[in-house]
Amino acid sequence: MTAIEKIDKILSTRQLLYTLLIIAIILPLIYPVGLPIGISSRTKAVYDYIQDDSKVPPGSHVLIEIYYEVAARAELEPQVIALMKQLFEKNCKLVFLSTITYGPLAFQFLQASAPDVFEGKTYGEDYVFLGYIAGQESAVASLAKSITGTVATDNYGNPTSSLPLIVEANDASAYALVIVASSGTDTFGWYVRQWYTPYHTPLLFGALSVIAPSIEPYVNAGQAVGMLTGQRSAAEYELLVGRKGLGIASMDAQSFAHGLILVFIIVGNIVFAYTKLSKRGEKK
Amino acid sequence: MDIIYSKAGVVPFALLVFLMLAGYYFMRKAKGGKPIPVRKIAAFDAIEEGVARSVEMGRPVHFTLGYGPLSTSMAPQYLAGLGVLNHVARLCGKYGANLVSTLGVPELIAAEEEVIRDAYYSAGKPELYNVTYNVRYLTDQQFAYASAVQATIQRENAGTNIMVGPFWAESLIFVEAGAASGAFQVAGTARETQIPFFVLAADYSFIGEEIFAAGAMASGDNVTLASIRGQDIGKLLSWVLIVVGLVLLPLGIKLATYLVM
Amino acid sequence: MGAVVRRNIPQIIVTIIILLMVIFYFFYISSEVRTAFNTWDKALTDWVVVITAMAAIVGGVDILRYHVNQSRKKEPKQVFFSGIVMIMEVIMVAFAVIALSSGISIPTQQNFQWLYTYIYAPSDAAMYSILIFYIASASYRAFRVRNPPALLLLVVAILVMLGNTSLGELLWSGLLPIRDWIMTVPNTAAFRPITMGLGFGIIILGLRLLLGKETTWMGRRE
Repeated sequence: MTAIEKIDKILSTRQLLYTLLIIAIILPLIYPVGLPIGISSRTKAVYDYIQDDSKVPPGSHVLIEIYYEVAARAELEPQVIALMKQLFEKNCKLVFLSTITYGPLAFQFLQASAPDVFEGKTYGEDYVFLGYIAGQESAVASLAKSITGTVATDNYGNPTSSLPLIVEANDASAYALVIVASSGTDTFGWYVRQWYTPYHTPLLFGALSVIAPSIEPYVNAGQAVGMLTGQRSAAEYELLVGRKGLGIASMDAQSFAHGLILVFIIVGNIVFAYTKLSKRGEKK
Repeated sequence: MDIIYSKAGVVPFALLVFLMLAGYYFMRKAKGGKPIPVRKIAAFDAIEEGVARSVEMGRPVHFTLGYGPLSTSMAPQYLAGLGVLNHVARLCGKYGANLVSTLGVPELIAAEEEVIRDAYYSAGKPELYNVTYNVRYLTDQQFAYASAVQATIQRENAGTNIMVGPFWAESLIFVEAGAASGAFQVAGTARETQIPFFVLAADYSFIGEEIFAAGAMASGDNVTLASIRGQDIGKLLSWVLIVVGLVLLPLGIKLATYLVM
Repeated sequence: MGAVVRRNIPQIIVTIIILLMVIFYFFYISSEVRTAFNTWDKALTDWVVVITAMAAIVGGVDILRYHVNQSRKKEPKQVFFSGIVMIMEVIMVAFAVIALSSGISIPTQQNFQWLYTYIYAPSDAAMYSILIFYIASASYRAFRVRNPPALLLLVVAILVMLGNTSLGELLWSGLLPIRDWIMTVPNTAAFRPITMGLGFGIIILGLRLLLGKETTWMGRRE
């Protein structure tokens, strides 16, 4: 058996591949290397947009849709936290809501992960969580027309008409920005159709990296001001806002895991090419 | 006095009507007896190969439709998946293969049971139909569904694994579970982000709109098949609009503004 | 009579609803008609919610039926697995009954929250995490360069993956702009036709539903 055939036999065992991957992920988490993280132009564009007072004035209202469950927390929560930090520093007022049943729990986890970001902020005046709103796209359409007309109470049972933040910003025209942090694909289209198209409310998308290609057309068409995709964008944004979080902490592990998968692909192709050439040689 | 006016654009409505009329035109032509040639889809032909292979190996065929509520924008994909299931079930009846069909759409349990029962009965193999074995509703929660399907494929030792419908992150889990079992795999989804996983790891795959064409091909009806031509007219129309748009752009005219009027 | 009830009536309902939904999506027709349509639209949405809930109950009964059957076969592993599923199902139903009878909203009920936070959420995250392992085995096993387009795909994949990671930064700072360009230009160009094709496929499927040529949803073919 040649060396290449031995390598193929060894690497064909799934268990070995999985073990190598576990090591590549866990070791950098325990012993961080501190690999450099560059800032992509797209993430910088999002940051600059929010920093621009003419686009998102200090004290303006921002709606944030939390549409992800626990599995997608690792990619989306760091994005939302970094965005929240930047918005709270501008004294923006944040209205959170969710059109997915797991939203309230995701918001609970969000609050637990970022107590420093929420520090000094008063519920009802600086931020509000409307809870789970059933109805998907029709709920989103109805919220654009009137929040108090769609949701009688917030997640904690307070009447929305009694919350100063909601009274100030009761429809789409009152919002400087809508952030959609979603692990799905449909949610983005709902807001494009129900908030951007009729009211031209600026939209910002936070998505999983695998979803990015399918929402790219919205950004290119100008229907969204920008997008953050995956942990990489989250890490870049954390660097920009100056809050080290899960995004940056995960980048070393992500880099090594990606590198290992690249090695698997390249070795797999070397083995494949060798096998093909040796079969051709045998035929001759 | 309120009058009728367009709120979502007259041009999009006209385009929709045009496409439907195009599809209807070809269906009428086919009804008149004119055969409408349709490109062969390798994945569709591979289904029969897979079923025959399963029978030879004495292993069941596994089919899965996807999970989630029916009342979403994924509904057309569930319908396309049902059409393919119809075809798979008839082939299983023809060859005498066991079929395990898993799904995560509770509204379609009854439809699946009827489709499979019909198929086995019309193939003359009613004894192969066992509702508890053939149709397994799992759950409509994503990863609970994913782990249940993965376990079904491996526990049943499926010889062929067919997946047609809307799939999310669980798509790769299914193809890898099938690969680990040594199953022959045919997969298709119209969810663009998951198509690459199926193309990479399955033996044959339907790409995007091919699942709708497969649903039509599965019916075996020439008139239904002819409706696929309407899709082709739509594609031809988009090419024309893209070229016209590119020609007009340097002249300072943005065609897109007129298309949403 | 049976065929009329089982085939014609559902088909008529579907045809009418498709036509109404299309017309009212594209056109505004006087405020009285609009209000009437909105009322019916809301009613339909509510009925959909009810049907989905009833279907979930049917699904739950189906799962119970399957596992009762399986546990009768007395295979040790299967009995254990089926037993766990049945016990979990009974517990869920019991919690729901307790919550409903005491007037507490089910998602805020402590026991459900505990089950979700400490059992469902970690399991969900674990299953999602399994994907990385499957990507690793799929990339070794299946990502083979069999022809020139596959080679181009491999090169682009390497550039994008390196651009996504800090390892790429170490090698060359130009990888990040290249990745951005690949994701913005050729990637979007490749996805757009697929999305357009999907749209046409859905329109033609709608046409077949309208004309009664698509009947698998009724559970039978022509």
